[in-house]
Amino acid sequence: MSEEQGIRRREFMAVGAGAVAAALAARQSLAAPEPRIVVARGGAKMPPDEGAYARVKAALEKHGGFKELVSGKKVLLKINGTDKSFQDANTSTSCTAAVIRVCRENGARVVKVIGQEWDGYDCKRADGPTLREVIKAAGAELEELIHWWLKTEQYVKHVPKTGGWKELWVAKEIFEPDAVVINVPRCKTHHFTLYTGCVKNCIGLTWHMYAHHCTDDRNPKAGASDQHPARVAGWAMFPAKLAAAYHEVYRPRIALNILDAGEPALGWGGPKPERLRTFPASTIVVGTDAMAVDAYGMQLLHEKEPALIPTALADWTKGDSVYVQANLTKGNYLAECQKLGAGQADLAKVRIEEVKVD
Amino acid sequence: MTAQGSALGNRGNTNGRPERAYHARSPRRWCPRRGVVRPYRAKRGRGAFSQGVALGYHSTPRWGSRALIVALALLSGCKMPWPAKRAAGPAQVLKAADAALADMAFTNVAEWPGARLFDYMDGAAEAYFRRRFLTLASADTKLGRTDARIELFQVRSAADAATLFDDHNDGKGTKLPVGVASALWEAREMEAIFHRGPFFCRLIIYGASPEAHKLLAALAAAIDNSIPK
Repeated sequence: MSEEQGIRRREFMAVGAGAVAAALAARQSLAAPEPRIVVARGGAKMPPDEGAYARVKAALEKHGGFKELVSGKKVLLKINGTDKSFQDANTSTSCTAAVIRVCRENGARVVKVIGQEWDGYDCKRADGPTLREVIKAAGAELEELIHWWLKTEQYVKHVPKTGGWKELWVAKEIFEPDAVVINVPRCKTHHFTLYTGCVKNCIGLTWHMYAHHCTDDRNPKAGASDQHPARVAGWAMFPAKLAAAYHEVYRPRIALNILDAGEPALGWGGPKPERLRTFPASTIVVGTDAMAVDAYGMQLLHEKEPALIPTALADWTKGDSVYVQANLTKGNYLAECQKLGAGQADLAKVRIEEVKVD
Repeated sequence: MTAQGSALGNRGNTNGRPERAYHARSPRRWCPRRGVVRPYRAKRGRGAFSQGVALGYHSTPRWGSRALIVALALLSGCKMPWPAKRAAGPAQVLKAADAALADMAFTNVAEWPGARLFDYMDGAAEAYFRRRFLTLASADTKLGRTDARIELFQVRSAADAATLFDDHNDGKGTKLPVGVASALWEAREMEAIFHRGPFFCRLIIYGASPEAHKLLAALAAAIDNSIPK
């Protein structure tokens, strides 16, 4: 952890990520900082499903207000199901099942998983179920948003005023008055944008998702060809466009973020020589501020691979890390969000409350 | 305002059903080359290809006409007046591999040419376009209780396929007796890659049991042997 964020890496490693909350809190001013996140850690010796449920339940109880949030409501869960080959790149089946379960236990009228994904719902595992099977077994609905090249009435137009947007289509269901949107991404690296967690997971709620890294929002063909000038130039717009879309459109609709860091993933899709790999963290991070949650998620990855993964507000364009070198955005979308005041990614200014799960 | 009728929807219409239905379940399927949905054509045989999911059919002259043309060609001492048989694409390679494997059948066979690769794999497609990607054939198969996913990419040249292999290879995998070069990584799932000619093959085996190893060995060999040498 960087000095700017209030605690040295040596301290973090010495006390373990779990105790970082106390160390950070000790350095805070007397005034309670906002926002706050709750980190539940433990249950590693439990069966995966039980461990995930124990962490989710403990984190939500500590966070408070969950029953009031979901009781009698239509809960929309945005998980990450983008990888059809490896479940390690998607929100885990254990976490997905746990979140659905706590929603139902707390009186949610309807629980629906929603998103434009790439068959990750059917991604297999030798010793476990698919996401689709878990969603069905847990009693939730599944709304697969139509891909961007097909006609549909699932989306509604919401154009951010900043970021250079001209057109943005977002799942209309999340704007329904009684809908409660809960963001449940996997904590992992991303080949082209370095990190993906809560903020970036929102892209799966949009129709022409490639418009986030394309200069032409209206032409899907531009987004689908890496030879198209609009796309070649588009990646540099990604931090500003995603930040604007998150700040103005997604953030107001996201009621809660639950980051699945049971086994954070590195090397999803590369960059070479990185390969998809996970490490056990047995952690769930909960908070209303997606940036604060993402900052903690990045910190977990950074502490695991400090030479490869920068911290949330660091410069993601400098250094020898293969992730930095592969960062097509030539920027840091979390830092752009920070500039817009879309949340707090400086962990030194976040109140971190720890829950231990036995 | 909704998206109904937008220019964005110019590549087909699911009539409100999930798009994936066209790949796996619907009796109609998306025709990537023409950009329309057409009824699939059943073919005789075994495996998934017998269910009409093989792609890349092309019309040929009727037998009567063909015999006449052959006779004319032989008489004139010329080459055949229609193009030579098209080089095998990845779907044809998988079809041949499927036929060669007695213990398993390919299902959910689909082809993803050009920009449609984005429909298959999201932004990760960028890495393949950099290596002059042409098309991908994907399929699932199973041996006993072990599932596997097959991805066979075709790029413009053997050199592109070799570069694509290098892109994926961290040098830490073990070798398989297939392809010009190969690598295998074992974890919860096994991932194997190899390349030969303009083809780059990626196999995901869901498990690491003896059965999974047997599946991998047979599948990789069948695909490799089906690539035109």
